[in-house]
Amino acid sequence: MFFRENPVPARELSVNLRSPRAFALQFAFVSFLGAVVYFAWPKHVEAGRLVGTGAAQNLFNLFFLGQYFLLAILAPTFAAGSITGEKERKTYELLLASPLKPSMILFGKLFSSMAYIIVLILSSLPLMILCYLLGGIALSEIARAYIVFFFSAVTFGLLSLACSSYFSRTSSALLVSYLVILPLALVCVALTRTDPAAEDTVTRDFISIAILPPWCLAIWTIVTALVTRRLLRPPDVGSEGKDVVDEEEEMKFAIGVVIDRDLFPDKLFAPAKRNDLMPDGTNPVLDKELRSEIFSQGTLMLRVVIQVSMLLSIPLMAVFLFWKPDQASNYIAYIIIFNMLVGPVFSAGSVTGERERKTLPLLLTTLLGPGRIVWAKLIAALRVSTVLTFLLTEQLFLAYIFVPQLQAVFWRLAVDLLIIAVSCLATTSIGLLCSALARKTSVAMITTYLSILVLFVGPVGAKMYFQRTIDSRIEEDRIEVFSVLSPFAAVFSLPEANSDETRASAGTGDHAVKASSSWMIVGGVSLPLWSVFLLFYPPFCAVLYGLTYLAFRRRWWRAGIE
Amino acid sequence: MKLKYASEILFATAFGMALARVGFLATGRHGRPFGIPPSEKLALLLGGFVTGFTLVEFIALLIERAICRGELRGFGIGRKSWSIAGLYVILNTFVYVIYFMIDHKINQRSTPVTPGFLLDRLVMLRSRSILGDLSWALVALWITARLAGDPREPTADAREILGRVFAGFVVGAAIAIQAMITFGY
Repeated sequence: MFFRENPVPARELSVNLRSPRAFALQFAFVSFLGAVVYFAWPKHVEAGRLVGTGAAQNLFNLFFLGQYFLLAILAPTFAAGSITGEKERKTYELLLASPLKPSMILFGKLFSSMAYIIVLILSSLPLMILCYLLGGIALSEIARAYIVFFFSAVTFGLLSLACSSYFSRTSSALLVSYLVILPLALVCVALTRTDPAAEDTVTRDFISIAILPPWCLAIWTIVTALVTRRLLRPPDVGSEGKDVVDEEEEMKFAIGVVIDRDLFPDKLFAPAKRNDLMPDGTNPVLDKELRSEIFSQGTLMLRVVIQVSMLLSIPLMAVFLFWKPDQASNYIAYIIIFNMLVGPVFSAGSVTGERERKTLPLLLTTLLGPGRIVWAKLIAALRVSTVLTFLLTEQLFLAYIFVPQLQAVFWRLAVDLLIIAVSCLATTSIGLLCSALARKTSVAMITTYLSILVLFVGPVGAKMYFQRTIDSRIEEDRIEVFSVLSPFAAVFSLPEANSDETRASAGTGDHAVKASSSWMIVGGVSLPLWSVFLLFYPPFCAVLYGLTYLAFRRRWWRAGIE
Repeated sequence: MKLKYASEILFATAFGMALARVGFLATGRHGRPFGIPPSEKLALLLGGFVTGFTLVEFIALLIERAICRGELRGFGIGRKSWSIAGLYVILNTFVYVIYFMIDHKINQRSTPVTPGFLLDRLVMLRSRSILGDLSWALVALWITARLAGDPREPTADAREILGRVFAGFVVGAAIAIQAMITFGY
């Protein structure tokens, strides 16, 4: 019944699998994994010769990490838009009015989004077999890896579907999905990955085969029950997911943090709706964006984001700021990751959102020039993204005051904050450019995330990859140049405080610090990497802003509305 | 819960963690080895954390009282817990500072009272008493409220609820540490 008489997977599969996006993604997926294997392939290995266990395990481990990382990123791109897409296309009510049971709808949506992910997993199998041919890896190990992939992929898909059923916009569902999935993915990778140094493979196998599946099954059961209940009695039917949410009504039933627009710090990112006339000289688009537009669909997404980020920050600050202050950079990295997820949400939908709501023609008939419109969109998105990100920085001040090792590098606090601020500017600028270029918010969001991932994580990932691979075919120095694009590379290039053990054993005192390791030569002058990062991004963002202006002007302003 | 209060909790947690670290490291600096029993380690960590968390929440309570003087009704058990815990920490500190200052001035015995020294000694020496004496004071407060027939507040706000949770945490931590000591840990 779930397969033969279910029209949802038939329709979704034909749409998903025939789309150019499906082909492009599969091509990118296999190419990326192929590149991982190619560059890590041990040199001078002739056909039919086996290499040592270490080299094969290293390659297998990289392959596992790369594939798991891609799965965690790709699963929400299909599943998070499956129900919100219906809401945005105004077909949600038709779907619910059909004689299909909620469980069949859910299964259909899950199957259609997971089928593609499973196709991706299977398409990587030949590459995995290549690793097997090197020797040193048991078939059971490959089977274990695929069990982990399967259970993780379905769990990620179901969680994304749940987000999709709770939110009315794909961008919100996508953001919350990532926020929930990425910590889970990190924990899962840490527990189940193949570490060549670790001899205790029994525990890892036990976790992969005996612990992970029951936990995943429990999550599937709970999430399925929640989503089917919501599909059976949908609270958002009738509005087609586009009506403005009454905030007072929403706050009555809100759990956890609520947003009160009259209070500090809430009014920094969500100022109260205006009930008087705008003063002269005010940019009306900026006023509209901040006071009415960004949170017109309710504050549920924002509240979830704030609560999850704050909860995650507690264990992270305990470990990286107060227990091991020599690893304080990891906490800054967490804040930047948070901004990478949140920043694009408010900018990537700026222009495409107007188009989808059919308010772009209205906007273009006003006396405002394209420059003022684009500037207002940038400032509104930047303000919200920056305030939300900086809510996580108050702990930093306390750590730098109370922890002696961090007191010794107090100036680092200013640089950390600057790097975070520049990252906020970069994510917002990239999101706005993608929004001006794309036609749909979901496309703009995914393009923004991919661009940010390539810029921010790519250089660090590539460097780590080439450091780990044996007989690498590309010199590490060539990769180092791209580190200037990554805020993570900038943060980790800063001098670190000494650990408690080092201070105690060497008697170096509070003022000794580990020197910065990364320097770059720019115009004959040797500069630390973090300063090159800080010098590079503001002009780069200005260029992005110029491109956004041109794209908006050419694509929407001059061309008119289709 | 308002966002302002959520940020305040995060700040209080960070301050608590900072004091827990200070107390734990102070044990090593003041001649006590790191090889102390697990119960004492836990007492130091939790005592420092509770001290820091309490101080921030008590100061916030004072600010709230000063700003909303006319609007606030009487304190519930949660706010009373914050108040008692905060006053306990502050008065305890005050007495300690006076003792050291007098001892240094008159008897020329103790070292001068610098902020760093004070922070170290306070968190280190008072952890046990914060988790011991304070927890029983909070239990006594709850019993007194029940005996007096204080009405349960149906619309308790986040600060009130967190105060009750905090009191429960302190009592639970004190019992856990006592149990560890009893069983030889």
